Amino acid sequence: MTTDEIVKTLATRLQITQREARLHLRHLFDFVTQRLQKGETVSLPNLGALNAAAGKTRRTFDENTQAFIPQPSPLEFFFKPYKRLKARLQEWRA
Amino acid sequence: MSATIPSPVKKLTDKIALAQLAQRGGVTTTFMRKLVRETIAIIEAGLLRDGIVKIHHFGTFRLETAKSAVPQVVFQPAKNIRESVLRAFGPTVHTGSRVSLPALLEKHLAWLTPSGTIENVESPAFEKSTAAEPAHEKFDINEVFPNLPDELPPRLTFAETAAAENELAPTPAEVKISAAPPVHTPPANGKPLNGQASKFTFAAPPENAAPVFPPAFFEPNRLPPKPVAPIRQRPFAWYAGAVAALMLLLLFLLPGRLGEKSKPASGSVSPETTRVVVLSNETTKLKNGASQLTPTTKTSAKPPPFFAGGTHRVIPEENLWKISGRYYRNPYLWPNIYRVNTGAIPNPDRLERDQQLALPILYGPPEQLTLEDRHHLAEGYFLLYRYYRTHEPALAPFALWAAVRYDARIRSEYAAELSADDWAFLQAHDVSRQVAER
Repeated sequence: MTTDEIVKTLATRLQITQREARLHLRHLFDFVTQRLQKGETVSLPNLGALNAAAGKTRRTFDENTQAFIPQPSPLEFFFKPYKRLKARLQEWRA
Repeated sequence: MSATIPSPVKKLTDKIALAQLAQRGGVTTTFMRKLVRETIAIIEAGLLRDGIVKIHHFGTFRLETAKSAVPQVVFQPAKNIRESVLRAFGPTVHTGSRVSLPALLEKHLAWLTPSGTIENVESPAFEKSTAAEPAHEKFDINEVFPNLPDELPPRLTFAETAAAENELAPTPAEVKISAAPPVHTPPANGKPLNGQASKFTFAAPPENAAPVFPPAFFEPNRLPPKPVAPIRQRPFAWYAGAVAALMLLLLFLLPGRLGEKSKPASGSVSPETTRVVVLSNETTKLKNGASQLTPTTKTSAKPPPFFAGGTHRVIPEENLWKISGRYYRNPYLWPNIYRVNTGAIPNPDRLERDQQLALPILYGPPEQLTLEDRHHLAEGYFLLYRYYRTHEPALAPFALWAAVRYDARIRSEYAAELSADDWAFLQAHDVSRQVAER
């Protein structure tokens, strides 16, 4: 499913134009992005929680000094689905 | 004494979030609530239908089923989102240290709840740290050092300290006057240390003077006790019920497992299985009273197939390899899908958008395919051989080799279609013969 399909379905369900639907969708995900930038966890109801946090720390081996150099942990995005979505996925898998 | 810590958690209720969104879009809050609900419902439906939802300039929600049996939802952010978030609180380029913004330290939780039933909840980590104080004995310094003054002397500056030291420092004359006459206390062997007596002696403290270090200070456990981690109150009844249910389940399943083990195998019969079978026959004989043995045969239910079949609608950038990996958990089984949809797929390397594909049944898991599955796969690879023979002749022998590898009977079934070169290729790359030679 792509953005175009979401926009079309949204416009049909809410009885608005596709342009308006695309604009509102843009605002919604901009809002989510801003919250992620502030380090917050955004809860999408019935779907899951989305947050950005530091991933696993890494280290590299320096051959000149024969020592391990710690590298900054990368930024990772985590999506934790809620129970309802998990149950739906289990049904779909079965 | 519990210090009152000001709550760093800012509240962002769903109403405020929706109001901000509505103000930005120039619509009412009710409409925005409905829009959020519909959007999330569409995303969920897309995930269940296609397994992937791509949102432009935001990211991709993807279902991953190849690694585990339980499908998992993975969010892959778009490049601009990743970079903007990285700029906000990612590691700096030069030092590698993480930039800590207040918002990152103070964990917020933004709710976008269209129903309005979920109220704003503070950060669980913060609540846990403040509510559950460690239950350990508090260290009272007055018990260990009872003679400590109530108020510490004021801190002096460097100049004041130097002046005070000059005032208090005794002059050499004062030292001579105040110094007590030397008293020599001989050691145990009667000889003085280094041949000289000690120059100074210390006057005995008054009897009523309080000791500087009380006896409690010299006790081995004078240090404050280590804080004990608070024991989380878990619902005991829940655990007890779960353990009891597990035990009962094991008790019921154990006889069934033993019965399955007693069934003799088709190839070789182990001594243990033979003994169990004979015992069961004797028991039957005694009960019936007849001289003829009545063999006991158990009917075992056929296990459910690994994949029960279905249909799939092709989305952009999808191919048979990905579809096989998604449904069969092994992308190498894609010729099985091609075998069923040969008429609908003119080119197996390219699929058309919105194309409906039939997904055939797979009886065994990918690592333990049944004979039927292997034959189906061999047929699929042979169909692929036919296609490559006309379109890409260089790849055709490899498809044929894969077909024979899955099921060798395919050679005899389609022997008429194989050329002399194919036979030579198969003979040169005969896996079973190579293994036998080694």
